[in-house]
Amino acid sequence: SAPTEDTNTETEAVEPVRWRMTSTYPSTLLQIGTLGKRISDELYLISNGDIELKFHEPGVLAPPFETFDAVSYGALEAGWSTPGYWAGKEPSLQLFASVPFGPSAPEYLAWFDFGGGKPLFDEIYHRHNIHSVICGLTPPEASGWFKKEINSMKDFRGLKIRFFGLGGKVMEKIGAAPQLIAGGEIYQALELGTIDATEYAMPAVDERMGFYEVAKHYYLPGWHQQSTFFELMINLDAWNALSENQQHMIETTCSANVRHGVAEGEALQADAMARLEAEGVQIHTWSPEILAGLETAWDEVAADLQAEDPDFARVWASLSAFRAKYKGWAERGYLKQD
Amino acid sequence: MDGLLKLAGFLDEGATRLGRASAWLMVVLILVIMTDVTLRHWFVIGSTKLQELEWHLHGALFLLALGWAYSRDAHVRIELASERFSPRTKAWVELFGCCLFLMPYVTAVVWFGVDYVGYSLQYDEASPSATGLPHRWIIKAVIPLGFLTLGMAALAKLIHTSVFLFGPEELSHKTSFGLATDVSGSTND
Amino acid sequence: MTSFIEFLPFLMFLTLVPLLFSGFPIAFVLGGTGLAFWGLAVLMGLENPNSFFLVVSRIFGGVVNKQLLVAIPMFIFMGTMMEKSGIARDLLNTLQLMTRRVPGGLALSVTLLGVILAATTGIIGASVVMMTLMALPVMLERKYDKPLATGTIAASGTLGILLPPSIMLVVMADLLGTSAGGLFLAAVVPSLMLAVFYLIYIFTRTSLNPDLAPPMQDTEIEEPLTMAMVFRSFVPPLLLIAAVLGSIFGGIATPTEASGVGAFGALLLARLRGELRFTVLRDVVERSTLTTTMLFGLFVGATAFSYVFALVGGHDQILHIIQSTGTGGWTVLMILMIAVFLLGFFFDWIEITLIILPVFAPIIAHLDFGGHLADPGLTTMWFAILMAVNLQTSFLTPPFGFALFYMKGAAADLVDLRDIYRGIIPFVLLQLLGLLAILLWPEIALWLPTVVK
Ligand code: NA
Ligand code: NA
Repeated sequence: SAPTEDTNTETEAVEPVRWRMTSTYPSTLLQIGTLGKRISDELYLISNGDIELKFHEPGVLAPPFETFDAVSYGALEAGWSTPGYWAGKEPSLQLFASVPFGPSAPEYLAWFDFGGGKPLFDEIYHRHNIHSVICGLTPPEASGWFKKEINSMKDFRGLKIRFFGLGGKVMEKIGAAPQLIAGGEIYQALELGTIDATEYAMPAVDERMGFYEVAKHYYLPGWHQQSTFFELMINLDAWNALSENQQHMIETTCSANVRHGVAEGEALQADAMARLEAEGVQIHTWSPEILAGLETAWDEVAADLQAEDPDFARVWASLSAFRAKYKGWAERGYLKQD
Repeated sequence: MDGLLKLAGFLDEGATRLGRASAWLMVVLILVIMTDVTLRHWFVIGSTKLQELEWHLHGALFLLALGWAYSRDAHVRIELASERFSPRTKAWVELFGCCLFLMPYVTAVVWFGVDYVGYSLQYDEASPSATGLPHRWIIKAVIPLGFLTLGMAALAKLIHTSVFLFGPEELSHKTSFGLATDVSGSTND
Repeated sequence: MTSFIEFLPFLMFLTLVPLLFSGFPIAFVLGGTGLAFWGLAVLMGLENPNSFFLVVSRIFGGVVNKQLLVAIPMFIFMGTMMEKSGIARDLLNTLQLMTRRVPGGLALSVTLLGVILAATTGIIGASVVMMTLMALPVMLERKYDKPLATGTIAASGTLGILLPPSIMLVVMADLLGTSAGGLFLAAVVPSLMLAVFYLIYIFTRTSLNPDLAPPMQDTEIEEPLTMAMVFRSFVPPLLLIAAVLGSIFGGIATPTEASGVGAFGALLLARLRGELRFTVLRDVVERSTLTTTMLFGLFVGATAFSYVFALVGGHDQILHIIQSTGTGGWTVLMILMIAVFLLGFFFDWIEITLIILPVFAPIIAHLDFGGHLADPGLTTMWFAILMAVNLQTSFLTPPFGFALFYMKGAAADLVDLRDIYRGIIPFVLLQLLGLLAILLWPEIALWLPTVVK
C-alpha cells in the first residue's frame, strides 16, 4: 500500500477508544477475573493509550448477569464474561463456553478458529447487536467438593448438589437434586449439610474459597468443563465504528490473552492440588463406569436441547462433525498419556 | 376542580387495590419456601424452579406496592427540618418533589423499562440456570408496572397538593394533603 | 470544564444532603437526584443517552434477582406477626418483670435478643425492623429514654452484619480472595465483644441515671411473676428461634430459607393462640408489605444514585484522594480506616467495599506491621475484620445511615429521627472503641481461627 494513503488515514485522526467495560467477575478472582483485568491493561499498553477499556467490578455499573443487556443496548460499550452465562438468552451460546465431555483447549480453539465455530458465534451474537471476541481460555475445572465419597451412579441419586449450567441438567437426569444456592451461602450450606456437594472451579481457585475446610472429597476430572472460553463482549455499533487497526489490536491482544490463560492455568493447578492434599483433602478420580454413566446422561440432555433449540442443534452439529474428523488425527498424532 | 379530585381518587384507588392485592404474595412466599425446604430435606427433590419462584414473588410483592406505599405515606422521610414547616410549605415541598424528582424518575424507569422488557419478550428469555424458570419477561415487566402505580399515586398526590395550594378554600380540606395536616397523625394509624 | 467534571461527584452529594432534609421521601430524592445528574452529564456530552437503561438492569439484577434479600420480607412478617399476636409483648413484659431489679433490664434483654437475631440473619434491614416492631413500643410504654431505646435497637440490630452468618463477610472474602469460613470464625469474638460493650454501657448509664430506664414499681405490677407466666411467654419465641436456628444448623435450610420457616412458625403460633382471625392476618400482611416496600424503595432509589455517582467518576475521585495520602503499613491502614469511617456517613457498606477492596486487596496481604501480628499470613483476615467492624458504623452515622431509616420506617410516628440520631452516638463511639481494641490486640479476631485450625 502507498505510504501517502497511510499518512492520510493517520491524519484523519482515528477517535481514541474510551470505553467502559463491566465485568461479571471480580478482578481479584484468579484467572476468571484477572484475565479480564489483564486485557484492559494490555490493550492500553499495546495501543499506546489509544484503546482504553476501563475495567469495572461487577455491580459497580452493571450486576453480573446484566452484562449482556448492557452491551446489547449500548448502555456500556464492553463487557468481560463467558458465553456460558447467556443460556437464558441463547441456549446455543453455552456450546461456546464449555461442553460436557467436550474438547480440551487445542481442539476447542481449532474448531472455533478453523472448524466453523466463529461464523456461527458471530451470527448468533450479531443478532443481539453484540460483537464478542474470544479473549481467554482456562484449563479443565474440577468436578467439585463432596461430603461423602461417590462410588457408583447410585450415589448421585438424591444428592443435593450446587451445579450451574449444562452439567446441572446432567445431574438432574441422573437423579441428583441440583440446587440454586446464592454465592454467599455455598460455604455454609455445604458446612451444615444443606447441600451435599458443590461444583465450583479449578483447584487453584477452589483452594481460595476454602471449601476444603467443610468437604474433604474432591473429584477430578471435571467432565462437565474440560476447557472454558471467556469473552470480551462489545456493542456491535461501537465495534463497527472502530478503525481496522483498532479492531486488529483488540483481536490480537485477545489472542495473547488466550495464550496467557492456558499457560498460567496449566502451571498453577499441580501446586494447588498438593496444598489441598496437605490440608487433608482426598483427591479422587472418577471411575470409568461413572464417567460412562455421566456421558450417557449428557448425550440424552444434548439430544433434548437440540430438539428444543434449532441454533443449539446447528452449533452442536458443527462441533460434532469437527470432533469426529479431529479424532482421526488426535488418536494417531499424539502419544498416549498412559 | 372536583373532577380533578375525582381523578386523583380514582388513581389512588387503583394503586391501592393493586398494592393490597400484592401484599398477599407474602403468604404465598411463605408457603413456597416451606414447600421447597420440605421437598428437599425430606423427599430429596431439588427444585431450582421453586427457588427462583421465591425471588420472583418477593420482587412482585414490593414493586407492585410502591404506589400504595406512597399513598399511605409509608416511604421514609427525614422530617427534622420539615416538621417546622407550615402546611403550605409542606405542600410546596411535595409539589416540587413530585414534579422535579418523583415524576421524572418514574418516567425514566418506565421508559427504559419498556425496552428492557421488550427485549426479554422478543427472545422469550429464560433463566440462565438450565433447570430454572422460563418466560423471564413476566417478572421483568413488573418493574415498569410497579413504577406505573407509583406514577399514579404521584399524580394523585400532585392533584391534591395543587388543589390544596391553588384551589378554592372549601375544596382544600377535601384533599388528602389538607386532611393529613389538619388532623396530623390520625391518617398514619 | 475538566475541573467541573471532576467536581460533579461532589456536587451530587452537596445537592443530595439538603434535599434529604427537605422532608420529601428519601427513596425518591435519591432516584430523582441520580436522574438529574445523569441528565446533566448527557447535556454536557459526557454521557451517552442510553446509559440510564442500566438503572432498570440494576433494579432487576441487583435488587429483585437477589435470593438473599428474600429474607427481609420474611423476617418483617415474622416480627409484625409476633407483635400483632401479642407474643412479643408477652415476652418483653415478662422480661421486664424478671429484670426489674437490674438497671436498664429491658434494654439489656433487647441487646441479647439482638445477638440471637444476629445469629439467624446477615441482613441488617431484617434485624432492625423486626426489633423495632417487637421491642420499641414496649420500651417507650415503659417510659424509656427515646434515644437510649432507639440506640440500643439500632446498634444491636446492626450486629447481624458482623456476627455470622454475614453477607458482608462473604462479599469481603470474595473480593479479598480469602475463605468466608475463616472470616466467620474471626468475626465471632469481635461481635460478642461489641455486644458486651453495649451491655456494660447500658448497665452503667442506667445505674447512674435511673430516669433513662424507669424501674417498674411494685404498684405497676398487674400480675405477679409466676412460673406459668414465664413459661407462657417464653415458649413461643423460643420455639421460633429454635425453628430458625435449628433449620439452619440442622442443615435443613439456608439462612434465607430459614427466615421463611420463621415466618411460617409465627403464623402457626398465632393460630395456636387463637389470634389468627382473617382481619389480623390481613393487617399483618399489609403492614409487613408496606414496611418491606419502604425498605426496597430505598434500595431501588439508592441503586440509581450510586450508579450515576460511579458513572460520573465518583469512585475514581475517592480512590485518588486516598491513594495520594501515603504509603507504609500503618499509614495505609490508618488512612483506610479513617476513609471507611468517613465514607460511612454517606455510603452503604456495599458501595464502600466495592470502592476500596478491589484496589487495595492486592497490597493488603503484603503490608508490613513489624511483628504486631504473630502470624503475618493472617494480615488479610485481620484487615477484613477491622474493616467489617468499621463498616458497622456506616449503618448508624447520619445523614445516610440505613439502620436509621429502617427504624424510622418501621417505627413511623413513635419516634422522630432526632431521637434516633442522638441515640446512636454512644454506640458508634463504642464501635470505634472496639475497632481500636482489635487494632491494638489483633488476637481478638485471630485467636479463634488459630485455635480451630
Ligand atoms: Na449475622
Ligand atoms: Na452512614
